[in-house]
Amino acid sequence: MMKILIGLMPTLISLLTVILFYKKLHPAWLRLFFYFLVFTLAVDAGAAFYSQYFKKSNHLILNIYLPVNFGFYFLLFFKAFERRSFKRFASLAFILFILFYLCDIIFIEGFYYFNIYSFCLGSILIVLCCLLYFMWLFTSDRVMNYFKMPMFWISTGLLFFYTGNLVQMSLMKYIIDNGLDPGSRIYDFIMVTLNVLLYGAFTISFICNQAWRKPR
Amino acid sequence: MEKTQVILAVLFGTIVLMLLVLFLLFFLVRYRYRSNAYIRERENLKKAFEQTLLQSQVEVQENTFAMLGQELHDNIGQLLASTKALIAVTQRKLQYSTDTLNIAEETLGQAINELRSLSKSLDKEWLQQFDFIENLETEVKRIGTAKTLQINFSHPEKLLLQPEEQIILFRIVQEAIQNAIKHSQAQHININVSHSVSSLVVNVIDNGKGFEEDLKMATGLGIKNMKHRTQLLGGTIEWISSPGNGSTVNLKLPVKKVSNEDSRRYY
Repeated sequence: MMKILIGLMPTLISLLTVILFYKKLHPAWLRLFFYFLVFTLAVDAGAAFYSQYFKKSNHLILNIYLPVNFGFYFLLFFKAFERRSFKRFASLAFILFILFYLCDIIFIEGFYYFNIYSFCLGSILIVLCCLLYFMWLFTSDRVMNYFKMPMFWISTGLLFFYTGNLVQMSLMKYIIDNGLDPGSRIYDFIMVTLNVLLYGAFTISFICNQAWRKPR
Repeated sequence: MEKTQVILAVLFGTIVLMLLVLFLLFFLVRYRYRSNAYIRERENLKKAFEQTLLQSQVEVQENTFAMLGQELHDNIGQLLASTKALIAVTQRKLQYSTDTLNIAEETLGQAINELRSLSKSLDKEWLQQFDFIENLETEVKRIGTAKTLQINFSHPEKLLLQPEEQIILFRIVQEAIQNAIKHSQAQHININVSHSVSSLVVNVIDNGKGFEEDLKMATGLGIKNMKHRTQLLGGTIEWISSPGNGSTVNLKLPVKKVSNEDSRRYY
């Protein structure tokens, strides 16, 4: 129980922050985070409790969450990108991911086993979106303060989370099949660390924007 | 052995990738820091160039005005003066001076006076001798002599502006008054000058026919000049008007905070 609560804490803090600053969030599409975080928290809590108390695999729940999770991030990048070509990339990445996800569900890993291939593809596409966003920041001809830009923090969190997860997830099948991580201690350690980084970055993104703050 | 190797590979791979991300972010932030400084410097240079360009434009315009004033005074003024002298000679020769000739002489005298004050107001050197308030009071008096419209001018006791800034401000207000007379056909004009700690505000309000706030208005030469001059002073200018309701020109200039030594240069 304690382990689950600790695991959910970063998401909960992020959700509370988005509620607190909901009306002041700028740009307005950042408010979508509220719905996303409520859904994420419900799925994470539901999956964890289901697995703990019914002693059954929660992969089905996580597989349903997968397209929502990646779909939301692709939508974020679609909104954040200013160049049309980058927007097109975000749209194509979403379509590619959904098509692959359907193939994975129907032909490869199925509904009841966590779709690692889809997760890895989604991770690579999100990392590419983050890199495109950073490329735009790098080449931009405007005076910018990254630390006050919500999307900078969101991209940073996503980049840490999905690059950090990539090695583990690509070897996940091998690790599980061979029982190399009994008690999922390494998995839990990496996931908790990455979750703290991801939701910590999200939390900062909700409060970093100076536009709504009163001038001193 | 194999177990430890795989777990170590996972941990090592994860750490390496995250260090790469960290390096990327560090590089990005450091680059932006330098880039921001470069962009700011470039913008400042651009701004300085634009200011210089505007300043030269205004100087050229002032010189043209001065030349025009000189020409009016020396040529047309002289022609009118000799015409007036000729009329006087004619009057003396005639036994009975006719009313029309008397009125013509009087009108000619008025025209000469008008021309003198107009050429004075165009003369840069003359303007530099007085401050903005004195200049505008003279201008208001000059326009008021025609008695076709009433102008009220309210102002603080003194405005601490550099002579060049005074001229630029004077030209803006002069243009606003001319617009109110020519285009708006106003009968009453109010000019209010006030200043606070942070800004100097000038309002020119007329009761004329007003205008639609469309782009045609904004692209007129007079309006363009007013905008350029305001930009040169680092201020903002706006027009508020609608057909039948007169018009208002609001001019706002920032008060520059300077050291005590330089404070006399600014308002």
